[in-house]
Amino acid sequence: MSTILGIESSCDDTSAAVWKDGKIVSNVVVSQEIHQKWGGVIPEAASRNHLQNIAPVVKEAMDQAGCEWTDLSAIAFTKGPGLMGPLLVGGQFAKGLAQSLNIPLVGVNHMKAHILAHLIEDPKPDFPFLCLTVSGGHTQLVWVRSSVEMDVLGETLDDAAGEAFDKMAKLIGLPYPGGPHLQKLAENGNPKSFSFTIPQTPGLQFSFSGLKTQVMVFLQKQGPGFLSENAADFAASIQFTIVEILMRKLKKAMVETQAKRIALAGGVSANGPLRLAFQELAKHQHCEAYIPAFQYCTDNAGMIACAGFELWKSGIFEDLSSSSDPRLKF
Amino acid sequence: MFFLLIETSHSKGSISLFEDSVCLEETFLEGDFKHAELLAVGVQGLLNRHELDAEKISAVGISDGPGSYTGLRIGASWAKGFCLPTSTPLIACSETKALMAATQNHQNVLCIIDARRMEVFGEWMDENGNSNGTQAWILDETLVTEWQKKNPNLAGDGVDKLMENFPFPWKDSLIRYADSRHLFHEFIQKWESKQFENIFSYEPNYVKPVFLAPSKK
Repeated sequence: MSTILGIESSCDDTSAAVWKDGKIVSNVVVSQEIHQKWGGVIPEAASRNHLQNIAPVVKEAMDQAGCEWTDLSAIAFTKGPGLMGPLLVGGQFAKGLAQSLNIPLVGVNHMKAHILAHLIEDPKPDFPFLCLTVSGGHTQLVWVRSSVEMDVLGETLDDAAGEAFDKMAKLIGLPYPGGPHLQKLAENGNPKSFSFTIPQTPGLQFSFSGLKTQVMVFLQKQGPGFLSENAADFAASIQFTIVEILMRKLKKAMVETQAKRIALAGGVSANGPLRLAFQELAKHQHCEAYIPAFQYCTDNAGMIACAGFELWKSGIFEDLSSSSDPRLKF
Repeated sequence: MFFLLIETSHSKGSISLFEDSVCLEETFLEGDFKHAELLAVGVQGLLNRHELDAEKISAVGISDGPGSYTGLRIGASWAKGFCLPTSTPLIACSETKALMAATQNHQNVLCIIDARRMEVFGEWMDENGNSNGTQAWILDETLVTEWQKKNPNLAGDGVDKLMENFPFPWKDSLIRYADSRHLFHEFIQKWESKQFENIFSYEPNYVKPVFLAPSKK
């Protein structure tokens, strides 16, 4: 019997969740919409908002779970990577809570938590499995041997896939966050209308900055009416190229690892064409494919509570002297 | 009754444990801006040495600012987490009032806290002990000339910047930082009058809002 409170504050979502006896019983997320008008997350504004949101969000998660404070076995929090100011708010709040309740503190790596989100609900992949994590801040291929043993096989050398979606959406004039807007715009477009170069990065590394530059230069050479006439085709072509970059590397990793199970994680896994391409690739390679429910793909404390439970049962705790780490290694 | 007072608004952080009006111990967070690593450890050390647990703490006092935004949030975040399960009252204490307590002077005192470049955050308590509250000031000739006419007692880490840029026979208290025990003066007044913060909505006195022009890209 165990009850873990998870707290997530790595970027612009304040979230708290309760993991009780093997499942998530509450998962509260408050998103900060104030950043939309600036076209990106402003760290100082995000930090202030986290401090305002954190106590009500945690209380709401406890109430929804029907838990008393004394039911908690441990407090899990996002230690990093992420934005320093927001991480500090969640980390310090978690420390105060753990001290007040005299229970263990568990520091969770945000990127590992995205992967362990696959253990929240059935169907769950058996170990080992190959995971492609695609979010606004990271793009990684990870070989997952167990809940606490993971090896990074490849990652992006520059921009993350989600960042590429957002930046190119911004070039087209779409609001922040651009990824979902770009997908919607692309629904009525032809993905083969415009051709962009697939980067030749070594091994299992990714790169998206060249594509961004290519798109920017292409747009600069077009006449003023280009986007009003071709926006949907252009968005579809960009999306097709990003998905193609991801799938080529995933396929290469599948061959190298001889994976029997592949998993998709991170906020960008909400992208429809990416999910479809991922499932088709799995089918073609005779692999099992796993994608968590949408609410566990984006930044959420459910995955932190789940990962916290895995660390807690392995006896891996965080010292009170530890600090948040915006560049926390995998 | 036991009270925990936490000062994290500047580089020289500290924590005090009071029993009623007696400071049992004050501990300093060694190393500039190591608050995130040292605050929880410092509190635990104090509690352990005095054989107390969280439920024995009647109220927690924190610096409300003005001061380092990150430092203020570290103290406030930790205190919210600590107070929430036990419904322990949270009391926010002004940093400028704490500086005045450190100078032991509450009349004609100008407390100024460095806010980078030529800006300071501060409060002026006039000859009659009246104040307009905390403000953000840009140090320029006009403002400083006004201050020189009144020649107040100076305190705070903005004083060095003032004296360097505007030489004058200032009355320097030599107090640059308030310690956690200096928060007690305002803390106990608020405790007695039950002026507690709402843990669910409290935010420090940042003095200034986040202001950025909307993106033009």
